[in-house]
Amino acid sequence: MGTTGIHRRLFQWLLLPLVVLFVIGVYSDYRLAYEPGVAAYDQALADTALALSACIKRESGQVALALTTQADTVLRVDREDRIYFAVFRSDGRRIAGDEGLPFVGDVAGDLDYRDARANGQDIRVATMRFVFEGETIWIEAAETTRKREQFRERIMATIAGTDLLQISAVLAIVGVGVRVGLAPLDRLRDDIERRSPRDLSPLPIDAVPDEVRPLITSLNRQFALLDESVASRDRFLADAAHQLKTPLSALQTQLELALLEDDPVESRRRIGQMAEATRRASHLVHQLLALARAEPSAEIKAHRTELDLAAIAERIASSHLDTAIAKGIDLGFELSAAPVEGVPWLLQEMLINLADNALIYTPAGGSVTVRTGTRDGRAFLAVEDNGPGIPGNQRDQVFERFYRVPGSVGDGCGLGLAIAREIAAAHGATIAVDAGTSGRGTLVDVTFPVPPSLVPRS
Amino acid sequence: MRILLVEDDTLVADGLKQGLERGGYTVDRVDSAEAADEALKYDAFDAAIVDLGLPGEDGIQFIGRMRKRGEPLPILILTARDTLDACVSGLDAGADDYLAKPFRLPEVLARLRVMIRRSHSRTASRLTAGPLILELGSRSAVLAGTPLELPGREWAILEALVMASPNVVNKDKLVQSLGGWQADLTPNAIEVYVSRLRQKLATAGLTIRTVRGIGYRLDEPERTV
Repeated sequence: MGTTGIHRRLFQWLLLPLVVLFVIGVYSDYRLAYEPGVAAYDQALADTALALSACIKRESGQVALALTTQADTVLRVDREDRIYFAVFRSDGRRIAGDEGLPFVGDVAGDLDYRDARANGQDIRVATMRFVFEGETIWIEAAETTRKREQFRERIMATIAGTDLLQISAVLAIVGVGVRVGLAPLDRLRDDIERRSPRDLSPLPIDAVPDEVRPLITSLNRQFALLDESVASRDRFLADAAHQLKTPLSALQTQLELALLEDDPVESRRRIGQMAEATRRASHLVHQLLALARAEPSAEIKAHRTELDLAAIAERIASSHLDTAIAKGIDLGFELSAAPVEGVPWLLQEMLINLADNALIYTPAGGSVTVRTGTRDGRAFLAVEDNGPGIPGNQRDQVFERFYRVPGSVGDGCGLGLAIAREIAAAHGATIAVDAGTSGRGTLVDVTFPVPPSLVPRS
Repeated sequence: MRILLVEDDTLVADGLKQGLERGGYTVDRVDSAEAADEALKYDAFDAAIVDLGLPGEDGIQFIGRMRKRGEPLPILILTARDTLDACVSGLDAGADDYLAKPFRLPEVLARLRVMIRRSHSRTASRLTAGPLILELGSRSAVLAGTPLELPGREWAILEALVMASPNVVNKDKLVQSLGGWQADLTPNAIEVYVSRLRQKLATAGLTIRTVRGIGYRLDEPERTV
């Protein structure tokens, strides 16, 4: 990872095409230089054959090659190669010339060149058709390939040398270019590496190339979110510790007083208060754990099943009924099937919290109704009471952790709705607080998304 | 009723033992799975309360072993790790119910009562709810020592209420489960039977509470605080 990855990728993607280009370049340069040179040598061979054709005579009725020793010597002069020549009848019988030269014979056209071997050497043969007094005669002029080889080597050396030089220069330029071009990335990497892990301030965006700017922008956004969540967690921890201290200090005070108490009636009263403080501390710990567990995690995803909110409401009915009876509240249910995909214990926790809240804040003689069902195919869960209600301007704040509506009675710890909101969020559900249907009281409504298993496949 | 309490924390065990004894139970307390094995060898219990975080063999393994050898004793798990996994593995091992620490005594007593009632209804042919005794075999009822006259449907409804107590019985499910017996049963008819049952049970302090929107719940005298 990191910018070295980009360096390497750039080099790999540049190097391979460059090598291919180099090979193609060398080949085409070679063809371009070599072929005209070879054609010139071939032409010289053809000239020799043409000169020989002028010496074809008829002697005592037979076709013959009338070549003086001097002419023969002149034709065979060459600085590098040995020259061979021969004249054949069309049936391949040699009329004159060098013994070792093979008969090539019928070639296309009047003149043709080909490679052959003679006397254990590679040779280049020019074959010419010559019609002498109505008879077709083949004249061959050949030479060894030494000067061609030398020519080829000279060309190869020149071409490869210059092309290699060129390609090296290109590679060097690319290398420097890549390094210079990616330098801002390297600097960025160094900047990030130098940062303290706790430093969540945004990275400077001005010196960053345009291409990387979106990346840095989203990184900065993540930093900001993380910063916010770290701060909120710190706040939460401090709040939680503070909240826990209250019942614990009450407990401690009552305990110390009870130890000094001689009056048994007063002792009992103090012990009753201790029980109450302990109950509050336990409840708070339970709520804190519930909140921690409601946070989105892989575990939550793994435990999702299809279930009916109505069944969950029915399950908690009995325990809440006891509370309702004790407080003189009419607790009722209006349950229709409400299929959702969710984590049973989390949804139960949510309903318990919503119902607890309603029962805590509704005065004696009031009523609380738990509803489940579907609206437009989406399952919902609603808890309504006819208690004092929540003022409109505080209906968002009540979801904040430890927030309690000013002047509210009851001994809630201010986490119930925060837990409900976390659990709703973990299920992709929306939660809203409103006034009750008659305009009085509170209505908390949780609307769930359509479960994946019930979405019609299109 | 004799309870085996397997709990290593002395403070918790002591409080629980005294609380259960006040609730009318006899309690034998041991502090490890090994000691519990010994106790089970020589004595018969009506239920066990097992802490999951025991020294040595842990509660889940202990319960698993008990169930493997066919021990039918109803088991209530106590755990401080009330994570889903711990509870699920406890129930999977064969426990009947679980309670997370910190728990409250009335809750422990209520769970025990239900567990023992269920286990007795599986093994014995008798259901009890406070002063009420239902003899399942002869389909006869005794309320506070006096035989109670119960026509068929009243008997069936009362049996369902006692079985479910302290949970709520769903009225629709009641209609469905009794409907197969005779097809003309309506929710209104159920109300009539329930009101007759109420009159008959009122003398002994048993109440059938209407849970608005769901159904009914049988409340024993000590439940209506």
